[in-house]
Amino acid sequence: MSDSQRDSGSPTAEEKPKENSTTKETKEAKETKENEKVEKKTDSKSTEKAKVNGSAKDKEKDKDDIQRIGKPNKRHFLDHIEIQREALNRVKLYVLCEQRVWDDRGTGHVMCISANDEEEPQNSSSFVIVVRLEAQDKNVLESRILMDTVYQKQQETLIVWSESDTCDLALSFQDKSGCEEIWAKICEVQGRDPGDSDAAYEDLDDSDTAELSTTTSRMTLPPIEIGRLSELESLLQLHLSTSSMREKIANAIENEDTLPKLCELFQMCEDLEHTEGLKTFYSIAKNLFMLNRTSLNELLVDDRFMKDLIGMLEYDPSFDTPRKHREFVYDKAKFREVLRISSDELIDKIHKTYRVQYIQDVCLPSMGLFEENLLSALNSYIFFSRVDIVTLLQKDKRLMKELFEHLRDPNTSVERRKELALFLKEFITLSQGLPPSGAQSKENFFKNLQTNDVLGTIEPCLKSPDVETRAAMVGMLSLLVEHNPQLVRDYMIKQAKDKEEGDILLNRVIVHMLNDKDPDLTTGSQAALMLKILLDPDNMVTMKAERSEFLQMFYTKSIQTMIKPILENTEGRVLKRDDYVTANRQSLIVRLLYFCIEHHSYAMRQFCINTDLLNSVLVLLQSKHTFLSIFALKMIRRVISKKDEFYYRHIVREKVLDPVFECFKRNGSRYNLMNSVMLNLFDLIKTEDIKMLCKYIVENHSDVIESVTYVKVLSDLKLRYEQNKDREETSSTRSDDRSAASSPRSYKKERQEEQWFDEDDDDDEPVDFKKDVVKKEDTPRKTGIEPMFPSVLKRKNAVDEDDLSVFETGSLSTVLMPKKIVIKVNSERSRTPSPASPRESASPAKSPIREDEVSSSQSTKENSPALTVKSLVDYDESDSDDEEEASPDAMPSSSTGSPVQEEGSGDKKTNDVNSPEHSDVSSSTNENGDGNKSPPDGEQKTEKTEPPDATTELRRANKRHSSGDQDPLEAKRHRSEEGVSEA
Amino acid sequence: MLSYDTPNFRHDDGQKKEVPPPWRMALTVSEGPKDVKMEIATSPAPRPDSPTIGAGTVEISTQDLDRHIEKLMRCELISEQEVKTLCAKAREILVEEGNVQVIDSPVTICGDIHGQFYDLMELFKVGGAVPNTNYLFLGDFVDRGFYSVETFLLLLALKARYPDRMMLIRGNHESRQITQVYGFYDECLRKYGSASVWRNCTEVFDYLALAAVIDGKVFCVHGGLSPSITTLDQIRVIDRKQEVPHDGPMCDLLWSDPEENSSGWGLSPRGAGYLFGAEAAKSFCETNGVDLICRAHQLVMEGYKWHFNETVLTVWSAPNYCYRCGNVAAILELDEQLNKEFTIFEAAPQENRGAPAKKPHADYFL
Repeated sequence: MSDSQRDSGSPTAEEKPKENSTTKETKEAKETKENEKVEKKTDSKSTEKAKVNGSAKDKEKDKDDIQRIGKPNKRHFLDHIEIQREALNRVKLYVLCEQRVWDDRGTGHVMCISANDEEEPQNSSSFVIVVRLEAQDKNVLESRILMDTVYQKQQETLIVWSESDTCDLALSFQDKSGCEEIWAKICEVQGRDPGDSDAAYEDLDDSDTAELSTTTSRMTLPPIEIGRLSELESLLQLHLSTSSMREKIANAIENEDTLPKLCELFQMCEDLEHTEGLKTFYSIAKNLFMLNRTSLNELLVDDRFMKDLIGMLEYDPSFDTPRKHREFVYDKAKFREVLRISSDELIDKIHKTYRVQYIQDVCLPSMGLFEENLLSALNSYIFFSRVDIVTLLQKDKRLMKELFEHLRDPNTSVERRKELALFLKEFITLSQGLPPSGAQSKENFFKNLQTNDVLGTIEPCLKSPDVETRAAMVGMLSLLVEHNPQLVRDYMIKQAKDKEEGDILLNRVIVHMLNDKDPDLTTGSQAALMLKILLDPDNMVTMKAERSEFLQMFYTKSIQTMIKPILENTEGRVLKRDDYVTANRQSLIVRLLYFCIEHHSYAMRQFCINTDLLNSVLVLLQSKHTFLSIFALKMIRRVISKKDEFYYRHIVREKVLDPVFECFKRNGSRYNLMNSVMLNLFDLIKTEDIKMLCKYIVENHSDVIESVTYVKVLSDLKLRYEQNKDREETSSTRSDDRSAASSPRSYKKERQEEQWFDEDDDDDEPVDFKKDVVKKEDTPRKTGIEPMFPSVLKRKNAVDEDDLSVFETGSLSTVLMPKKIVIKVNSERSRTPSPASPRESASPAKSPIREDEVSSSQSTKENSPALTVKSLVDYDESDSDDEEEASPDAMPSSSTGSPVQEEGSGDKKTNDVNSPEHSDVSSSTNENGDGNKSPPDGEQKTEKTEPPDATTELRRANKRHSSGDQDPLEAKRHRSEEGVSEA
Repeated sequence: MLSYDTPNFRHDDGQKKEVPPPWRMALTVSEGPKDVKMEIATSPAPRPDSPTIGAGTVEISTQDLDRHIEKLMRCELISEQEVKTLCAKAREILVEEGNVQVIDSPVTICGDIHGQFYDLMELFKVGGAVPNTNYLFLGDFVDRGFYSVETFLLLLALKARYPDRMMLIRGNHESRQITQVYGFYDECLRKYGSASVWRNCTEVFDYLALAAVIDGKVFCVHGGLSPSITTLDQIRVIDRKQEVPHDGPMCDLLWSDPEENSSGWGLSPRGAGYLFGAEAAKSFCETNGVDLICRAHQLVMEGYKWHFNETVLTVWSAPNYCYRCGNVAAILELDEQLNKEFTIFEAAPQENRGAPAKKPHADYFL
């Protein structure tokens, strides 16, 4: 619904939703102030339309007055206009007001008169229907034909319409052709086809127009008896079209005590097995709900009638046999009173809400996108019932205490725990509908849960041997995490103190994720989503120290647990188990690793390098489950797109790309997704001109390069390599000069680095490399927002590996580089260049030194004073993952964002903007640029053929997706559903 | 043979419907098996040379698939578990397809469907039942209509059952972001009670091919051309397994529109993709040896529309779009000689509001 409204391009979608929403509003207004409304409505209507002589309220006070549009001169004019008095236009005027009976207002002659008036509301025509009494020379009706009034011609001599929400009019003609004449006139004015008088009623399905009795005395419902059921059915059908008509008939049903009679008759019909009658009952029951009246709904779901109504709904004619709703709702469905609920009111409410929900979900037809609010009254009934239930439950102190105490108690039996866990989960799920603020707010609800130490229940429940219990707990924990991740993090940190790794709550969640029995990992992926939220630095809004504390815990105590299955399965570089379930589980881990690489630059890098994780993950390329291999490749791609040379060195040293090329060769030249993903990876290396990797590939995998002739990517890569080589040779002298000019300290360090990395025969390489990287990051899409603004950063939350790729478009040059927060897990390690890291295996103590190394080589380039640089500091955040390297005297223990660190990156930038190579990097940007430059003759004449989604669809979606100030609900949904979906 | 491009109001004549030869999965480079002939149209393309693909790794029997298809044809939902298995199977098939899927004539090309399930049934009525007719759907299966879930799952089940006779390529609505705004997400939530079916389906979206080429002569894509793509090989380098990006070549393929009054490239009022003119279309055709660019993406009241001197064609297959636009729909049949025959069809008589939405839980705590 909402979407079609937003949809500017839609040719037709606009009208209906709007109408619906206004009627809805009106309805609600009405229901609140029932009495006031009647007056007001009539008044307001009368000013813009006409009035009928003696419409119920006014009848007494001005007996012989005509009501009509405002101005005296007008009245004058209409009074004196000549009206023919013939049999042809002789009519009787009926008025239907509050009394629900048609009132005869006399006989006269009718005419349709043009009466121009500029002050009329826009939607009215200049034509007025005038009826002048036969006996007196006096107009009894002057009604302006409005464009949106629905006129109905019935029975050849009857024209009926609603003059206002509370007043209906009917003209009963003496003569058929006279009726046709006026009808034709009305249609002409309204621009409709007089032929389809039936279709004049929008949405009016083949209603039986022959029922004069129902029309003229509509509000006297037909007697409830088997023979006349269809009368009631068509009457209901007829009154569905407008809000006022729905209200009218709903009032009649409420007041005339129709429901008891209906139910009685229904039971009779069932006893008689009167099939036709029962089908009619289905239609009646359905339409009673479709009347969408709050007060009527209250009656319908009353215990006296609900069961029979559900029974009526069993006889849906679109099913061959009656459906068994009552059997399900009243016999099969079991209310499980896990905890004694003392309030009868609450128990009743729970039953009723369940049943109403059932009616909505199962009995009634599902509503399409455009008709959602046809059942809005029922929806809100359910909504408010739920709020009531949550509120009442919370008030039951005894119940709350029992619930949480039993859940926390380690001695609670498995079965009991399961019931309680399911109860709690349902409780929290219901709370999701609570309003964001106020006494009954979600906030307060969660506070109340905390008071009851809800987090304390998690651990004992996750220990339960029962799968369902654990799944329920993960579900519940997810909701808590979505609500307030920091709360859960703090709790987990506290809980982890003095515990063995196996007992840490965080690890229990991870283990649960890894052991999900379901091959499609329903709760496993839920756990993964939750882990992502917990691990996301962007929602860590508290003090830095606290922030890193959680990640520190993760990287020291949990990540090993997480990657254990992969390490075990890939030991000795051979893939051991390769069944579907294993593949699915491991894909979950790989996706989490991807997330960590993305968001925890430093800690994750250290971890990857120290454990040679990349090579382990790439063993998954051997899997027969291609989707798993692709996730592994994507993880490598993410690493490479980080533009972090420590990774590159690691990749070269550990020959990480070798398995990729093996896989590439295995896949052959078959044109499939694998092939494209790998080509894309090579393309990234080429476009980003990552020299180290370029060189590695060309020097080690030339056979593959030669073999690929179907695309240019690899030959281009080689070309790039050769160009670089040439350039390096020619520039080697210059670079010598430069390094000589640089500070002795950095020079020394450079020397040092050479000793560490013998394979790097080129002094200049790190410098060049830096240059390139920064240059490319200087993208037009940069938003210039520091990682400190959580509102914007939220987006990243929503974004996920796949969504992230939304921002990456083949070449990184157009990429909006995600902002990073670098969190140092173990400051000790980076401070001392000695092999301090306890887990270090593959690369003893190299990285810390390298860090210093690079930063100093950096400083060889930068002679510009720090001051000029400062202005750039705030702007350049995208390479913040290079911070440590960039800063000459990086304080290894400090966290991200210190100006000192950023100076470096700012400097790099100043240098690189002027880089002569700037233009040859990205082909796609340039091309895009061309596209933009082309003359804007694309000014669209929105032609008829434009689809509704033509114009701003994506723009809107983009906005929704990325704007920091998006509707919190949407943002929420985004995070919880979309982004996160991708665990 | 009917003439090329006059609309042809025709009902299922039945006589023509002999089983055409199944598609071959032709490969662009000689190394692979050049003619992997599908002998039985029922099994996914076997690729014996592939070490990465074992025999079907996802277990789902033909009988199961037939059961799903039968059920979905009645516009009834299959269970959540069945959806998951189906998606896994589909993923396994789609992952082996190229970004530009190479297919052979004869084939029937269909444009946007947008969840108009009963109109899709009309389409099959006029176009022929699935194993008998080869179909290429140009994307936008979901959103806006009442039955996105049923529509997409049916197409997916047909794809899994007859992988070489059903081709599905990605439209701009096959996206997480767009489906959250235009109805598919809400529909999944309503019909299954959780977003997990939506998650599974959107995951499959990522694997859908981006374009297709028929006999090397007809380039088929949902939206249109991209200024960053001059040759088909450039599409090969796209990593399509991702959410539809906001810009770049992949986005353009799914979002661009032809623009009559310009020759080169223009900004698209949609906010994504480009407007491409006659010149751009011509040079693309020449560079790639293509005669025709066939696409969907824009509502055309007559069901199909030619652009640029018959080098670009829009096919639209959602009659009475959104149940209110009053347009007719078209499909394009290409025979072995690539002769074109349009079939126009109208909306199904009445969208019947069928099946109940949700399965209720029998146990309730609250």
